[in-house]
Amino acid sequence: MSSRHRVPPLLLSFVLLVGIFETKTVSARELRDALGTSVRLSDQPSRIVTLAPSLGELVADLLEDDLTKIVGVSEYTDYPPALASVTSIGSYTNFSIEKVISLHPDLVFATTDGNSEAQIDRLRALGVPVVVIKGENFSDFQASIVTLGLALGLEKRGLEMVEQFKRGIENFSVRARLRKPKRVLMQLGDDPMITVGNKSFLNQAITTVGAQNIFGDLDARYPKPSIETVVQRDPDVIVVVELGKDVKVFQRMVEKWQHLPSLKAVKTKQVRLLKADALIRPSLRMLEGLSLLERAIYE
Amino acid sequence: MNDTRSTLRSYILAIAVWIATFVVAMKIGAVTDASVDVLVELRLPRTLAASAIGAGLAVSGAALQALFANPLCEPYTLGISSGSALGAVLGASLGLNWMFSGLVGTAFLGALLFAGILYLISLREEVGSLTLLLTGVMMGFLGTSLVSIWLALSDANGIQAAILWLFGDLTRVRLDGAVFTFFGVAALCVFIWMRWRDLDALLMGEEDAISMGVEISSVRRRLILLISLMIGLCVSAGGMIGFIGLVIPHFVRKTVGSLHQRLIPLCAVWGAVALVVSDTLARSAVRPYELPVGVVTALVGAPAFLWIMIKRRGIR
Repeated sequence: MSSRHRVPPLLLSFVLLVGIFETKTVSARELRDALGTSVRLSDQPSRIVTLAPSLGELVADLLEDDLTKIVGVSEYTDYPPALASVTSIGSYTNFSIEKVISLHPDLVFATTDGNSEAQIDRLRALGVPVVVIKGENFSDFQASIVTLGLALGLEKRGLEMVEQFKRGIENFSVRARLRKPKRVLMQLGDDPMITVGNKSFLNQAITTVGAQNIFGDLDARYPKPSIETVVQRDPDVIVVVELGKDVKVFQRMVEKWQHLPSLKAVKTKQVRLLKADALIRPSLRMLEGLSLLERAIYE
Repeated sequence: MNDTRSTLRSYILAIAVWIATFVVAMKIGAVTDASVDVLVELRLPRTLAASAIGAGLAVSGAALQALFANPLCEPYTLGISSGSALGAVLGASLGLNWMFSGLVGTAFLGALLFAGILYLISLREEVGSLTLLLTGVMMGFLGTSLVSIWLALSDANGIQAAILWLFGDLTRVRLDGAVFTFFGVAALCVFIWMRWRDLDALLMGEEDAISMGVEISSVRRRLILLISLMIGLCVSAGGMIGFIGLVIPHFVRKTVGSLHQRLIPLCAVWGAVALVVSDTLARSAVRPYELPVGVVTALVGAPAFLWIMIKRRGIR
């Protein structure tokens, strides 16, 4: 065991590389991912690593009960709960390439919404098949499910999930058409205040439930406009999005708006806290998140 | 007699301009017919804090320039601001929340520490003013890079907050904090102003000062303490705002001369005017967004710094 430390890392990675290539050449399928890169895959991937929590969740959904195939996940992957105990490869923004390699994956999933392209390229250069998906809006999301299904050899399940998602969205749209759209400020952070612009799927989430984002005109994902422009645009509802475990921070954000009683949302007591773990994960749980959002805006 | 009258006139002019910019700043904003809560919650704290911090930085700059006998000294170039920011950030990460309505206690200590180091270095005889200035610049880099360590380790929200510290920002100021800063700065300005004779003497150089009966080391100690408190207060309220302390004393000196009896009060008022104007620009230039106010002061201040340096044709 002690002699293992003396194996030069270069040689070690070479051995690993050869190993990966060997499994690859047995049977090759080709797949074009969201970035247009064609990736060669084995028929039945059995060692899967997911580089973002949302990907872990989606892959688990696709695999249904067969979660043992997932051998590595990114930090904070906690849904379904069984994934919390899978080996972590670090945070999605800066995962450990060596850790990924050491798991001998035959399929790695990455997303443009968080993973660094440089790191993905490194993995590919080391011979790891990486399938990249996009996660910026609902149609990206549907395309991702199809791509993920294809990569896993589970096309049918993928298409089923897309159908399920579409049906869910359609239900919201039907209700949305019957409503007078409320004007919404969605707040993600404080000092500086962070909200949602039209580049984020959260903007689409707001319009899907029939509301209107007061900063939907801003060409950014998460812009930081001034508080005074919030007063100027005077939303009907303020939704403070609660993320993570520290609830107090978000309650304070809600309380802070009370200092501006001339705001319509404050006057009519429509500053609301929204538990958003389901909403911000682009997986099927988003439907659940959307109905929470719908209730927060229209209850 | 004539001199007193012109001094009086320059005071009245400065205060009138300050009141005018204050009123204009309170009127300008995204909301055109602002209600009372917008004025009191959003605009008044900022305008009041901008006045206080502008005054504090300009007076600190004038005093530092006398203390080091170098017109390029100011809180920002000497790195004292970044010491203060470091203190604030370290305090936050160590959980030392000595907060008072948006002001940070550890920022005082940071300013005091960096000013103290600079002071110890300045005690060495062979250290000229250029060396001292460069030392300050380097300490500034050191402070900023230590802040960056914290930045690298914190989450996205923490990074946002730290960036605002580094660029200077007045959006966080609450009304009670602004009132406290205003009176704190006013008191420290008076204390510094009361030492105008010492400051005049220091500006003439140490030997002359000694021959005039000034006890150099105790004067320096007291001034460093007062200036550090002032910078600590300003930075803890608004982050690192550069160049006010450089540009304002320079232009005020041009109009009323270098005697600190007049220089200090006028620096205070014009500093207030400059930062109120900068902050109004910062919050109205790129609506619906806001710029950190330090970006605006640096855009004007950095070229001014170069211009002053070139005009002096070499500093020793």
